[in-house]
Amino acid sequence: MWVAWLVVVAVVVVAVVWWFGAEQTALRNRWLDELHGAQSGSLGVGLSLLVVDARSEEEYAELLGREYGLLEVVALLDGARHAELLGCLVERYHLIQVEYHPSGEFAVWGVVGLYRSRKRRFRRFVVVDCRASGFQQRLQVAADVASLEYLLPLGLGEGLRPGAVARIVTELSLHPLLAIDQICLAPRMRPVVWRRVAVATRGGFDLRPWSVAPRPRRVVVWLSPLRSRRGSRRAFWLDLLLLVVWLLPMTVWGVQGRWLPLLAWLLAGVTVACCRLRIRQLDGGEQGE
Amino acid sequence: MMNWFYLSLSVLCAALTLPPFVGWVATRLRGRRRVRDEVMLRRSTQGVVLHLLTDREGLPRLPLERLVGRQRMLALLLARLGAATYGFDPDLFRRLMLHYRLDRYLLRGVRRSWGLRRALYLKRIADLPPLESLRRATRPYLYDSSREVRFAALLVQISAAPHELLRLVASYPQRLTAGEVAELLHLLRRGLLPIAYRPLLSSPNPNLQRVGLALVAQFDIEEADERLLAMLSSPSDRPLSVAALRTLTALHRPLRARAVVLFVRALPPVLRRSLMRRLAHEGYTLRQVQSLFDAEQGVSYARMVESYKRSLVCG
Amino acid sequence: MKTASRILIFGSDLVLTELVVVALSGLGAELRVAANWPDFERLTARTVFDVVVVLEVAPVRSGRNFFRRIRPRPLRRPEIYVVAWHQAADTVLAMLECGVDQYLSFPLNLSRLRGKVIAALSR
Repeated sequence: MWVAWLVVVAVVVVAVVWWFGAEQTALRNRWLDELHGAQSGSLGVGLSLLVVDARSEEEYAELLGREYGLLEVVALLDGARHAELLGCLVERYHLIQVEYHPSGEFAVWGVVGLYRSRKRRFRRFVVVDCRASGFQQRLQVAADVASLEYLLPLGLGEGLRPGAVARIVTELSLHPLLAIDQICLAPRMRPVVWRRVAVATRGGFDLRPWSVAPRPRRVVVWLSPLRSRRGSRRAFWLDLLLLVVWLLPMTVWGVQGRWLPLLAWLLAGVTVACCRLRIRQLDGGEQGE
Repeated sequence: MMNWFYLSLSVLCAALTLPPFVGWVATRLRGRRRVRDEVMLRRSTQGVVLHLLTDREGLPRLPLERLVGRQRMLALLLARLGAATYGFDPDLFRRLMLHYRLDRYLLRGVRRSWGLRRALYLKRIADLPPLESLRRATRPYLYDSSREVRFAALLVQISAAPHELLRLVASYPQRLTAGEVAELLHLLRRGLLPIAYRPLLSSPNPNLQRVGLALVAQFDIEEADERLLAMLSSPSDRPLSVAALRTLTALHRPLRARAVVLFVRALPPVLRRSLMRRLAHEGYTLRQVQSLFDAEQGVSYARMVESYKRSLVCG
Repeated sequence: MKTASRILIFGSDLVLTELVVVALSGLGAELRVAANWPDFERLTARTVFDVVVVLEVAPVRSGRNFFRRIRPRPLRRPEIYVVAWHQAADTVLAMLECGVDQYLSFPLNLSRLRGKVIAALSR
């Protein structure tokens, strides 16, 4: 039974640390929102959004409409499967097919066509017709085409929260030039923003958990700048499972009349639940400001 | 012993439950009031702007004076209006600040908080029309242990005494980052003081040089080329030289000068490739940058430029 | 009888939108505000405006046919003003290329904006 209590204490500690990290990130986000550099585009930090799955036209429009000036959107499509969408994008954004030459920094294959816009106002939009199927492979193709210093991959169904681009570039600009290789999302330490040169030096994206840049070269955030439909569903089922696991011993102790362990277990669960509630609230952007 | 463990754990968990729960409740309550607060904010904006446009005497009636958190909202409103407009006498804003005791509210916030919260209060003070009392009271925070607090205190001092910009920036103990310099420029754009770029670029102080570079980039000052090239020639401050090169490329200035060629050729290969991509993105042709790269890189660059097809961008 | 002029203000920021609304009030023109793309589509489907003031750059870059919608060729009305925070030269050129008549940057002189809109309405 002491193992179970050890686990409970560990879970409480993780929940509290996670909550505290989320509060600090929310506070940091408020500070970043107060700074105006991203509004005026004078930060000099370039960010390429890598969209490796096909989206609707409205989603591309929303990404392209982000206010920050030094932004690029690299969109990967399989032209064979999404011919109609590709046609719509070509027409809407006045795209022309240009020559594609791999940079030699990444192992890429499957690129059938590269499209850029003839119009100045859509110059930030690049479309790649690519037959590669693996997520990592598609990421590398997008990174090979990207021309700005930092990369922000958007996975399946992932979007950007309002203000995310401004906060990311502002955060990067508050460190010495190109001093940061990654922005990582705690507690899993999953990189969400990568420095292109660092990725190229490693030969590609290392997507293994906890494979992160050394401490001075990374920024850790506890609230994701990305929005994910899949993530919230997964979180719901996990919460449900934890609730069931948590209720079982309480039922047993209640029947046996052992009130102290019941109280301790109950309060530990309430603490974790409150931390989780607050984290989800901050993650959802409800800061009430 | 197990009873002690259960009791200790219970007490600890009870204590740790309160802060996140209180935070959750407070945010929920604020969220419920959001629609009403937005209506009050809108009406208060109307009141202040009408007063400014018609140059009336006295103070406008502000609906948000009935709200919980009115001082916070009023400070936010005045800061937003101050940043978005110019040409108005800041006297109305000062009178509103004194009438609603915003100076005391903000100073109280600064004293009772630390770290980023303190920096946020100081930043709000810097965004509002300066009051001498606030300037004096916030001067000690120039030496705070938090970088953000020190920077926010610097903004307050500059906002209150723009003629001391050069002295304050030169004496700032840390190297200013690009984000901090951009914030300084934003402050200056509020019409505080016209700043000449020459003394900044010629100064031996790296912070002043960075502000000078940002000014040159922001206002597209072509006459600064000579000074930027001189910065590339000085090997002692590599980050500053890189910043000077980036300024030249952002302005699309010629890159054939010997200083540029020597500097780029001395860069590590990965940085040179990164520079190549940036130059292609900015629209430099191969002929304009040929001298910077060797034959193999020149071929890569030609291919990069070819894929941009910038000559076809005709609007 | 001359119908009242119509001015549309497009912007998602509450304070900035209200600032411009108040600055342009009292001109004898009907003022409408669109805070997002669906509102904009709804308003422009029914009404032809004389001046449109856009408080962000997103419509220029997003490809939503913003300008074609409010000023289909070969019409020369409405006049389109964009007011945004400082933009790079490339972005300003892009705005002018897609039909923006005036670009003004924040911080904004409200009297100047008002004067320009009065001149536009009188043309």
